[in-house]
Amino acid sequence: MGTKFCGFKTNRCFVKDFNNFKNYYDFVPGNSEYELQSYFARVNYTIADKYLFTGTFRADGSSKFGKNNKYGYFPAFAAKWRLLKEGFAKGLTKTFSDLSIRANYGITGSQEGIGPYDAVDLQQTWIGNSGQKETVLVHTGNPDLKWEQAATTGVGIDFSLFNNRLTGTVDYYYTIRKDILFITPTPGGFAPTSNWFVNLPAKVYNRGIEVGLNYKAIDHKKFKWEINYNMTFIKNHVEDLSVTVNTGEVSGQGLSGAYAQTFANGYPLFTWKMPTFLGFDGNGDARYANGGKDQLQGSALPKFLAGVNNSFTWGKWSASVFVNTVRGFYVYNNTGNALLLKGSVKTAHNVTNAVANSNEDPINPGSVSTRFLEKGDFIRISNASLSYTFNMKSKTIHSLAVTLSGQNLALFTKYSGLDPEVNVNKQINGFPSRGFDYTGYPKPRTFTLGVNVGF
Amino acid sequence: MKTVIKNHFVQFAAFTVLLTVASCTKLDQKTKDPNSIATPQAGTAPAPSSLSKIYEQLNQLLGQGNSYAMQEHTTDEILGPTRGTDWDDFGTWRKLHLHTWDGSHNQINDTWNGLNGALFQTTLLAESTTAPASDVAAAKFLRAYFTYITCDLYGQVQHRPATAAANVIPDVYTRSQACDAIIAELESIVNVLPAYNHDNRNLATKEAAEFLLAKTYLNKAVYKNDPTKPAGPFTFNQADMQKVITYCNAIIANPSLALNSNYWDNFKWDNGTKSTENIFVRQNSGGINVVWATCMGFHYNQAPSGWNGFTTLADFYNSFENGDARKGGPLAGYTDKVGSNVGFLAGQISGPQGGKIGNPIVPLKDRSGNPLVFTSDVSLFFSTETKGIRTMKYPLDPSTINDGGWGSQNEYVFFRLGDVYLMKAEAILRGGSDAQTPLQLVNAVRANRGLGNLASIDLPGLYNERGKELYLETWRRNDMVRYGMFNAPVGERPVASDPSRCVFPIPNIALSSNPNLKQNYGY
Repeated sequence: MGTKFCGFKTNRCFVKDFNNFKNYYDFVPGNSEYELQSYFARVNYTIADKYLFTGTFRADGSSKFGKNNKYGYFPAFAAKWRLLKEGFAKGLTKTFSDLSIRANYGITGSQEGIGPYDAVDLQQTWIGNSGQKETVLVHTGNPDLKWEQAATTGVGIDFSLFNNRLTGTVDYYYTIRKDILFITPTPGGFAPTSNWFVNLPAKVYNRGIEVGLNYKAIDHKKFKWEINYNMTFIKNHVEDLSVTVNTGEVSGQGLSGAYAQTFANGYPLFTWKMPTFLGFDGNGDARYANGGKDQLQGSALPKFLAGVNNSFTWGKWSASVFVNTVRGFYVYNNTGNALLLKGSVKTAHNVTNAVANSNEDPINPGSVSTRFLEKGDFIRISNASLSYTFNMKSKTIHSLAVTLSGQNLALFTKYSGLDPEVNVNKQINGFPSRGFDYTGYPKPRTFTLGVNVGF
Repeated sequence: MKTVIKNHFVQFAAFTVLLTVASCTKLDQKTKDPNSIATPQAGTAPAPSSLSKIYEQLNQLLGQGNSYAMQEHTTDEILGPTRGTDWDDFGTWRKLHLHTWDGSHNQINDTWNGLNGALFQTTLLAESTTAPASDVAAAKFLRAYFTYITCDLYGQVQHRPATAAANVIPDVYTRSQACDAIIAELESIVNVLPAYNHDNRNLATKEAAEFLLAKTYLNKAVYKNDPTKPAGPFTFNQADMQKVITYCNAIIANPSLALNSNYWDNFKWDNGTKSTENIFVRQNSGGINVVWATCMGFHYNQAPSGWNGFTTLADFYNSFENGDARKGGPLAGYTDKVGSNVGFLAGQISGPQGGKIGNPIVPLKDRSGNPLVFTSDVSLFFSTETKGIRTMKYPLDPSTINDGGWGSQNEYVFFRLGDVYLMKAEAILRGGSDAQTPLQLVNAVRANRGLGNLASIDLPGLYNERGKELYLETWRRNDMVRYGMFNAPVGERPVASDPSRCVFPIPNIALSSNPNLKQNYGY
């Protein structure tokens, strides 16, 4: 019933899932742990196969929170109305095989991000240089910490047309995230640490439309062509944020203390903040708008995502191609900022041809600016495959199929770095960052030849 | 329908049972060594850290950045030039020299947080009802010192009783209230603390408290001034000056303290045994070191390999008389092995071949292969790697340099007797009276620095003398403000800065998290 979870250092439990081996210190016996308890109830209710209701209720408890806030209570409701079952919709049944309207509302809780002891005063005791025990107060706890909540309201349509040849869903969602667990400044900094976790009074609004379509374009016995399409429009912004939060540490020599990202009221999460670069002057020194003052410059979060998959079957041959796109976001080319400057030539570093031949002054500092901020829009042929299934008459081998597939086959983008689909962690003091490109490994292009034999 | 209802009933019943079970399970935080939950003292305050850990709060005053940079880069002593792709650092060094910082400046913010962390930690012990009286007195001294630095830099000091909960918004002393609080705290313990006996130079002593009292009384006119006139004019009260003299005399009277005839004995690697001037220091142990004081100026090709950063200003360098030991030059036991002078490094620089101590000393080259010649001309925005005269105040033990110098035993000096002599002279010049004359005091210092007697001394003369005696000891900004010199054009700042710059702004983040703080005048 109660579930014991491993803290980042623990010797109580073993990580069984390979993907959870995040860091080597997971192997090292450690000293923090926390505990979760969850209770769950669900009710399903159907009237005349026309109206479907479902309600769930969770009570979640976490040892991470303050004394009086251990438990959070999270209800969720959903309803679906099958229109085609209504008398007035009879005329539609010729075209539609399904037409339903859905609505849902629910609250989910989160305790992620905070440590096991953020609600209590934590001290550590060590043997000091003098051989005596020394105790140090590591942090003061925030006893008010409680569950973060996200309330989502959504409506949607499910439809299926022309004998299920065209099926699809359209959804609108609106999420308000509140009591956000976020690291913020301690009151006036008068504490052992300059930041601690609070439930931020700010709210984050997420809203968007998701569309999913499936179309069987050709559905002959010998030849089939199926198209799967999905797309998402996302809008996101922050409100009621009372503190200034800068994040996104920019790395590189001569860039100590530099940052490039912020959270600001009325703006999306992960908004870029830096001076606007205007090019080089006659001496090859950088010019900036507004006296080099910081300006808000768009977000690292995309506004639009879409993907389309075409699959074909022709006798024993089958093939598929998946193409996706992400648009409306910016990437900070920190690699370029740190390494690809005219001044890098002097310290015997390689630069690109364009940098070596630019009119930049070799002693122009590579300050953070929109010089290194780029649109990340891209289209990628993510996956393609071709396979052939042999007709097997043998008794020992039942089936045999050969597949040739490729991942990340082509990338179309104006971004000057290796790949705009990149997110190197540049958090500052625990404030998360997004959209940094800094000496990350590029996505590999892989080809796979597979043989599938059934005995 | 009926079956549906039945199912509901069963599920709800199961749910009720689960809740009943839940009520007997506690979800308290569980800890393991070395972690534990601090036991609450009076009110909701956690138990204080050990005194030795509270002394570690002093470590934040060591290092080339933060409070050190705020006290030094803003003056006529050093600046941090941008050298192409090196040392741009988001303009953090340029803004300090140009006096163009604001409440978002990273070092102004980080220093505030560090000092307030120290104020919090010292308060828990200073107000403890269970700790030994000697620990409480030491914590009070440290709280007074951190209050002094915060008051000097920011003009406002947060305070909150140890018994208050961690989410209570701290109250704020004005600069004038902070000045009174420092004096009251120190006068309550000055006769409780042990007398200085050289061995306890790293601990709170009566003389250390007297030093800080003298400092506070000397600057009282600055701290008590109208907050809208942080650059003065100031009116120095005769009674305050007399207090400065009284406390300075008490320090000078301690037989364990005397001026050193070798200035560099106060700073070199064996200053722990050689210095008779250092009143309060941080000893090199447990990861504390002064390598930064070398590396912030040393070129990459020197030993140890430096960061090729900060330089002094030509005018400051030229203000030294030749023969002044404080200007530096070759130091026996150091220069013959390291190649470098102490004090200031100008002209062709030498070092051991290949950067390894033990190799013959040769003239060094820069990274392009040209002779490494430090020149006095330096541009804040566009400097090449050899521009600017470098400083060398804490010579590292040559035997440790091949391992980076981390093991060098230099003690970092907070309070020094040379300063006491000059404070006393200044207090007399500002209206106090004493059997000694200011000229006798200044000449006593000069005699130990290899210089002849002056014929007369006035306040401008004393100001210059303080600069030469105490450069890079974090008192220059404090002196420049008290003498009304802080805003004057200097180096790469050709026009006078606004008088409001005499106090740093409250960081934006602190303003947003404590509504009791109000931004300082002029920001």
